[in-house]
Amino acid sequence: MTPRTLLMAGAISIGTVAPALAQDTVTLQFWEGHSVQEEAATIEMIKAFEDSHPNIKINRTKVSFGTNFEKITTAVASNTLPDVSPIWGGFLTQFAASGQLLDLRQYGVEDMQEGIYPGAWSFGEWQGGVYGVPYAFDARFIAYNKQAFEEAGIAQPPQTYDELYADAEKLTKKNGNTVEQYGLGIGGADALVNFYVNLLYSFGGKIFNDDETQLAIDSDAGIKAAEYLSKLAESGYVSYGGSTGDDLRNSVITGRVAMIHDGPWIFYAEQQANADHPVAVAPMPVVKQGEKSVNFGSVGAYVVYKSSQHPKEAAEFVKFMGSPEAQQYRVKLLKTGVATNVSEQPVAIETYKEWPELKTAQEALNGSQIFPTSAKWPRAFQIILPAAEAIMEGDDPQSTVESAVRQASRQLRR
Amino acid sequence: MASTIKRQQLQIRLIFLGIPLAWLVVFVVSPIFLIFYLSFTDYNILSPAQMIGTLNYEDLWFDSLFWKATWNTFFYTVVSVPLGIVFSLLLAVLVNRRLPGAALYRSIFYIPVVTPLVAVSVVWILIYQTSNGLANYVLSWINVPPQQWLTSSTLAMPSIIVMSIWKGLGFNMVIFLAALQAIPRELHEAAWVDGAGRFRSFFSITLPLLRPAMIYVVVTSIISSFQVFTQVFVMTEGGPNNATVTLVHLIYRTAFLNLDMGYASAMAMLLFVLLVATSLTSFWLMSRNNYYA
Amino acid sequence: MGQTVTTIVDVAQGATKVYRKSRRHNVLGNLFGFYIPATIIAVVMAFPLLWMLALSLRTEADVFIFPPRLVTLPVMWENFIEIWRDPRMQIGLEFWNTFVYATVRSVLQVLLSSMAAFVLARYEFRGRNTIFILVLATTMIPHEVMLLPLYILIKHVPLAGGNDLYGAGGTGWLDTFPGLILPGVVSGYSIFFLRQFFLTLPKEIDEAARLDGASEFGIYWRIALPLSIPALTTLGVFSFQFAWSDFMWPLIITSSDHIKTLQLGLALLSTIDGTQWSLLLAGAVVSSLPLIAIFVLLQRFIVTGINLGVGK
Repeated sequence: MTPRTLLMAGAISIGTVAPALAQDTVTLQFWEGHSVQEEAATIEMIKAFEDSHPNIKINRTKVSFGTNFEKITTAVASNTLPDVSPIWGGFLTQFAASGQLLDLRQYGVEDMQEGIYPGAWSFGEWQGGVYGVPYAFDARFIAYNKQAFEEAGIAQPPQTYDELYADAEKLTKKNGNTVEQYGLGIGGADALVNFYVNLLYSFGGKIFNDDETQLAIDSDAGIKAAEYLSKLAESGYVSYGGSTGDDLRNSVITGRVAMIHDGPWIFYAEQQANADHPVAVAPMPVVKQGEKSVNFGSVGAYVVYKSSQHPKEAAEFVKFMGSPEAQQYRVKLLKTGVATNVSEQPVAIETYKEWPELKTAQEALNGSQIFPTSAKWPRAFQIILPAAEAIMEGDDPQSTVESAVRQASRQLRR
Repeated sequence: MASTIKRQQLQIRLIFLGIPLAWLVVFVVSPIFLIFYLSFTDYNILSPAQMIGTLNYEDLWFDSLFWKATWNTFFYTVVSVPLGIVFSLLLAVLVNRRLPGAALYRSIFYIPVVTPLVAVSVVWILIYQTSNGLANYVLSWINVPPQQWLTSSTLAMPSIIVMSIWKGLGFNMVIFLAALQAIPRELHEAAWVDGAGRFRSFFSITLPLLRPAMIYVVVTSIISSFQVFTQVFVMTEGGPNNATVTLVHLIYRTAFLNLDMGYASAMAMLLFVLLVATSLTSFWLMSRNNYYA
Repeated sequence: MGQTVTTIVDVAQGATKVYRKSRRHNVLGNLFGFYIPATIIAVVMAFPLLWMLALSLRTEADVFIFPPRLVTLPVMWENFIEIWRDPRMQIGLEFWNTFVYATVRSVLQVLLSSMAAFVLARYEFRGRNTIFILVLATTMIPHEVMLLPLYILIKHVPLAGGNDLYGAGGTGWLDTFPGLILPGVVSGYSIFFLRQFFLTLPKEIDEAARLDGASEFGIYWRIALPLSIPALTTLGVFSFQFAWSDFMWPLIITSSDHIKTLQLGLALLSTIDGTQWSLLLAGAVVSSLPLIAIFVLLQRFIVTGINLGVGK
């Protein structure tokens, strides 16, 4: 062993032991791996936390989690976890079920529930316990190019799904084999599932049956959603695919695609492109005029690991990160906040002056539904994605979802 | 004298083989045994593993996705390995010259190899984009409608194969080049004097002498094609409609997304058996009756 | 021994001269047999990378511009400065770490693999083929599934990182250079590769050397290795490059900033919340440059090394 490695090994053990010795200040190990936009917000949130909690220091480590959380999963296997990290997808439930996460109710976290959107809050719950506090909640909506709508003579964004289809038709411009402007853009892979699930929710369907043993996407509503997706796919008005949401965002900014299904990332993309607010946003359409708009939202939550030496301080930290005072910095960086009254915070009010559309996006979070929190969700996702892709390729929607459900009955049993 | 040599040979065999083999045993063989053990367990990484006998293997037998991944992997290998070898050999022969500029061409052909696969995959994603991509733009010049390169189940795998062959050509080219350089020119010279044409001399002199390199390239190409992962992971995530799910991609997903390490281990063991069988067969076929094997 | 080598070199060089002379006037042959096809292939091979370079010099919005253009204005040379300044990465340190990782690993790999390959290729003994096949079999388990067992193994290295004699209690080699480098040092691929090369060296060379009184180690060190410089260089380049581009293992094994590698830094530009394409591609260009430089510098050892090898 070289002196250097000895030193580093020493540094690791000191990092975890020393705070226990020093009673007055506690240092929390916090892993995060956000985009430049999110990171800037996180840094401000941490600073605000440290200012108001002088006895707690946050040691922020930038971690590339790997697409599927490999970094955390392997750290569990060897018990080298930090105190706090973000978690997303179906992992929270699996981690909680395996006893890796701290139930935060013992630190009074349930007091926060009222101030947080129900969709986001439910993400952290598992079997009566609260294992995560949401820090990010991104609703999907329709983002559209205002000029494209004007040119096509469309006065307002589509209110119903029938209007969405009709508008997509009007907004598509072709020149021989080249499509110069697509009416609607749907991303590939995850973005396609987001769109399909949003349709499913809008049509009144659900992903799982009540006891989460079986997929329920072959319900009447599910088949209608699949048929609608199929109709879009066959229309020729849709730009589909590409693994990058950024591509679609830039397309709607430049007007190459007239509208897309996207979340608050669109604002950051606009800012990066130095564009003069060419994009407006609107809630998801409804099936019948007068219904309440339903949109899909994705959640990220911070969790405290059971192995933490400072559970109380860690709980304090994650609670703060979900509070309106902290969340206003996410608004400043053009994201939406998980706290219901974040829009009343001074920083947010200031930001809305330049970005009024951001407020529309924030309001979309009010009835936003999320992916199922079931531990079976990752497996279900891997069945739903190929099914949605098959529909986009022209397979019969009804038989595709039915065969997906059959396949799931095998897979979900494992 | 003879006994000294004998003793020295014994020593060198022990030490020279012993150290690397011990290394392999610790860092490669022992994990393989652990994977073998895990393949008989239910292990979600987060909680301790539990023995479940051969249940994982029984489930595999009925898992249509596993068989689809096996088929996709097989297809990928059967198409990309021969094409890759033929093209890289042609390239190697092409640049195996002492002409001004040959070194520059060798470097250009090698550049794709040294560029990180993740970065390269990203560039190809952008090229393959349906609405904004370069490939479709070029096709539009000759009035061909846009193709769904990565989003149609018929085109996705071929698109990945094209990119993989492009990426790997330079690697095998260098191996062939090193082997070609080792062939004394007087052999070609002699054949030339004897009136053998270029093709004759290539097939009767060059190719047989390339056999050790060829065995290496064929066997390792098969092994690495069976383990194709990154391109699929970055470019299609196995889609569309599982058209590009490969075995290693499925194993990875099962282990780290489904947190089903036991099942993933069982898949890995089957892949292992499949690979041992395939590569040993190809090895044996190529090295029959030959001193160089 | 020395004489044998000289003779072969003389013969080879003589032959080359004749060969070259007779072709000297064949300019057209070179043009159609080499330059034209090679240029066409070079354009095809280099284009995606040229495209990568083009994309790396754009603003974020221009990356997705339609119709595609090779050059967009403004040309963002700033991306290459920004990549050095980006606070999420410490690209200088990461460069150094990656360099240490790749260098140590490839040097050890060449050394250890050549030892095993030498024995497997140059000596006849019982069990030789069995050992070789077992070595080859170690390449047949995918890395992705080895990650977790290896990780657990590294954590339990005895007497390291606070561990006791039985490997319990501490973090072993996690988050250290030995943990990063050592597991990948010996691979079945590299032993296989060098074995194939050693097989092509004429056996007579060994015999002649033994008659001249060379020790077995001397045969390895003074004869087999120098004669194999092209193969050793090739392996070294491949091994360096593999370590340089490695992502999964460094991702899992490292957590501190001071040991992070370049690919991990670049991965931070592409997160679940979004990707900075032009910066990411600028980073990819920067990370490819050393590998291209190494190949350009070392290719003369690979290619024009020697005309010895097969003497049969």
